[in-house]
Amino acid sequence: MGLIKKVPVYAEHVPGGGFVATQLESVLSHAQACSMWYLLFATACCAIELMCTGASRYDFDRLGMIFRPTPRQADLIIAAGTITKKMAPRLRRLYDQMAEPRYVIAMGGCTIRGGPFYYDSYAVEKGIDHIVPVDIYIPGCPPRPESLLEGCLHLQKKVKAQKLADWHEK
Amino acid sequence: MSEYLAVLIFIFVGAGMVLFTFFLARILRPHNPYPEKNVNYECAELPIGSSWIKFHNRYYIFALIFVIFDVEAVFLFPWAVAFGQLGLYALVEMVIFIFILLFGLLYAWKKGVLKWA
Amino acid sequence: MTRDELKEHILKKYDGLLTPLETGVFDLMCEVKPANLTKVARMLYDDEQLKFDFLNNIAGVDTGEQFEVVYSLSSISNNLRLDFKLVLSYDQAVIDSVKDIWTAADWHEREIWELYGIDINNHDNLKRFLLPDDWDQGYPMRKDWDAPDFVRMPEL
Repeated sequence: MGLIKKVPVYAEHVPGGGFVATQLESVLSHAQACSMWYLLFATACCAIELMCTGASRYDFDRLGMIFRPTPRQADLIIAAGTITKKMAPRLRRLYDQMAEPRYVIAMGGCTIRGGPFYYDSYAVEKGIDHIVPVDIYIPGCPPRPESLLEGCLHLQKKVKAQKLADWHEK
Repeated sequence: MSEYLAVLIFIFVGAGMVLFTFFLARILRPHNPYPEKNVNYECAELPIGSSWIKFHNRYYIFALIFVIFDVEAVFLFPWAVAFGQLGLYALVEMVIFIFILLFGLLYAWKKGVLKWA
Repeated sequence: MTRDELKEHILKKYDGLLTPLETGVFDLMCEVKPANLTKVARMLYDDEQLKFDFLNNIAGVDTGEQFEVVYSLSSISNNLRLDFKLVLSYDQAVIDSVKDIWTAADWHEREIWELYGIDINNHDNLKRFLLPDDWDQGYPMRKDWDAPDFVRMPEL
C-alpha cells in the first residue's frame, strides 16, 4: 500500500497539513537515523576495525547501531573489506534481501576502488558501486574507528534530510 | 455470568487492538516485494531444496538425556564451590544424586537409546 | 637420512626417473618427465626407505617460456622432504592425476587446472574451485593473461 509516502501529497489539501507532514517526516527520519541496524557482513581486515568500533571503547551502540545477523532486519550494509568477484553476487543478494529503506557504506579502499588489489588482480571487484548503490564512502586501509563513526554520522545526516516521498526507491 | 461478559469484551478488544495495529501498518508501510527479496536467507547462498526437512526423532531423546546431565552440572557447580562449608553430609547426598541420574543413563543405555542406527 | 644420502639413494634407485637438480634451496629438487609422473609418485610412496606419505603442495609456475608443476613431499615416518618438478611446454600442458596416491592432490590439481589451464588426466572432479562459477576469461595465472578490467602494475 505505502500510504505513508502519500501523506505529504494529501496533506497539501488540508489547512495546516503541510506542517504536520513535515513534522511527521522529521520524526520518522530521526527515528530511522538513530536506529540504523547494520548487517553483520565483513569480508576482510576492515572487519577488525568494525569489531573494534562495535566494542566498548568506541561503542557503536550509542549511535543506535546494533548488528543484525539477517538482512531482513537490517537497514545498512557496512561492506567491510575486499569484495572478490566470487563474493560480489552474494553481496548483491544480501542487498536485495534487505527491506527498504536500505543503505550501503563502502568501508576501506578495497570497496571503493579495489584498494591494494587494484593492480595485478584477477579476483577482486574494483569498487562495490558496480554491484550495489553506495551512500557513504570511507577511505582508509583500513579506516580507523573514528573514520567509521564519522561516516556513520554523515549517513545519519543524510537519512535525517530525506523526504517521505523518496523513502524507498528501487 | 455478567462477570464473564467483561472477560469476553476484554478478549475482543485486545484482539481488535492487535489486528488494528497490523492493519494500520499494512496500509501505511511501503510494500515492494520481488523474487530476489523473497529468497530464503542462507548466508547469501542460494538455498538447495526445501527448508522443510525431517529431523530424525532420535535427536529428541539425545537432547533429553543431554538436558538431564546439563542440569546435573548446574547442581554440581554450586555444590563444588561451597564444598568446604557443606562437609560430608553434602558429599553423600551428591553421590546419591549422581547415582540416581547414572541409573537413569544405564536404563536408557539398556533400552538402546545410545545406539544410532 | 640427510639430504646428501637422499640424493645418493635417488641416484641409485631412481636412475633415469628422478634427476636431482642443484636448484633446491632447502629441500632436494628433482626433475621428472611428465610421462613418468604416476610411476615415480607410486614408487616414492611405496619405497620402504623413503615412504613419502604426505603431499605438502602442488604449485604451478609459468616461467614465461614453459609451465612447471612443482610437487613437494614429506615423509612423516622418516622425517624427509623432497621436491620434484615437471616441465611442460605450452602446447602440451597435460599431467596425470596423482589423486589416487595422495588424496590431497584433488584440490591442488583443480586449482592448477583452473588457474593455469593445465589439463589433468584421470581427475574425476574437475570443476571451478577458486574462480566464480561463471568465469569465462581464461586462465588468470598465465603470464600472457589479460582481461577487460585487469590492470597491470605500471613500471616504476
